[in-house]
Amino acid sequence: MTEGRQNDVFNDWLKKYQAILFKVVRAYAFDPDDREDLFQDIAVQVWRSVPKFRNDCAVTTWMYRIALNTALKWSSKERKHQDGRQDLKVTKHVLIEQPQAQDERLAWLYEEVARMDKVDRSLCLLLLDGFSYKEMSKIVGISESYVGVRINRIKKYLTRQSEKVAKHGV
Amino acid sequence: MEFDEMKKIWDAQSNQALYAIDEEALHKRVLKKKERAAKIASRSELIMIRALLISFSIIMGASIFKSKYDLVPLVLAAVMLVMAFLIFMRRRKRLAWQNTFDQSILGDMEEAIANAEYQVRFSHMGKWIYVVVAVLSVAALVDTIEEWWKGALVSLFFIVGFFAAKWEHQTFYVSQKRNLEAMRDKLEDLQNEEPQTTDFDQYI
Repeated sequence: MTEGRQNDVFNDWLKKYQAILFKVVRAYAFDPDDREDLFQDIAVQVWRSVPKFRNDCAVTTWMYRIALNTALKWSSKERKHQDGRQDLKVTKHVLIEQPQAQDERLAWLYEEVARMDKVDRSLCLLLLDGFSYKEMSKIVGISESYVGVRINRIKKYLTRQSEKVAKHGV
Repeated sequence: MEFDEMKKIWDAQSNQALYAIDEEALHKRVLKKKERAAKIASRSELIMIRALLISFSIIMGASIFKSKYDLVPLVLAAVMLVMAFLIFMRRRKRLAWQNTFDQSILGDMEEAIANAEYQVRFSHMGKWIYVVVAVLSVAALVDTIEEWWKGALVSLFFIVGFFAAKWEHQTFYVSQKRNLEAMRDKLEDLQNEEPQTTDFDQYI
């Protein structure tokens, strides 16, 4: 694949599926600089993955796998702040936050997702985006039955947390 | 709130653009990172191979030029040549096993760990090459240096270098590998948990 073709596919994927990247970034990075850093890391990995894509799964599945994998590795890096921010100071920002009314319930949902451990966070994002257990199992690399166990716990956890919020009238 | 309601809230965000992307800045960034990663992957191997081959040539060239074949420099040159060959073989092996992992997060994680493991071994090997070269270099100097303090300074230089290499090994390569292994273990722990069969009625 030529670099020009790779760039075209990458730009096309980015236009169509950028929402996936934004969701993953928001779930794994919690301040603007970290989000910028993680987004750039994911974008680089997606760009690199273009020639490896063989059409044996949906592009959304592929993008999620790359994005989640990068986010998991990024969040386990001890020196992520120093590494990322040194570069951010000398380069232009890639992500420009758009001003808009924030849905409080969505913000709450992201907060709860952020409280989960890193792997549950991945599964929860996939669940909320409507992936089947089979697809989740393929993306994460664990068996379908364990995805089932985990998802059930996540659902129960979220429902329980929302009841707490309702009780306290938040 | 039921989960279905949460899903509706979640789906609503797909129609909102939270961020705008500066495509030009992103493109530059992608190219910069790509070039940097590709270089890092093979640069340390190539630097080591070249350095060893150049040192081998200098030592052998000096011996041939002076027609003086002392044992220590010849052993040092032979060690350097063997090390360069070993690094070359390891590099070939590394290039062969790349992209052979399962295409899942776990597979990617295994590949990242294999890469980190390779870096750890490579840095470990570099440390021992350094020790061998340092010992042989100091041994070669023993006969030629007259003032003891010059020999002591050279030895001190090698000792400081060794501890710096050890620090680099632990701080960068070993800790990066440990972080990745912790994440892989976390994923594998999911496989080892007891399945709760009563929970499977909620399959999508």
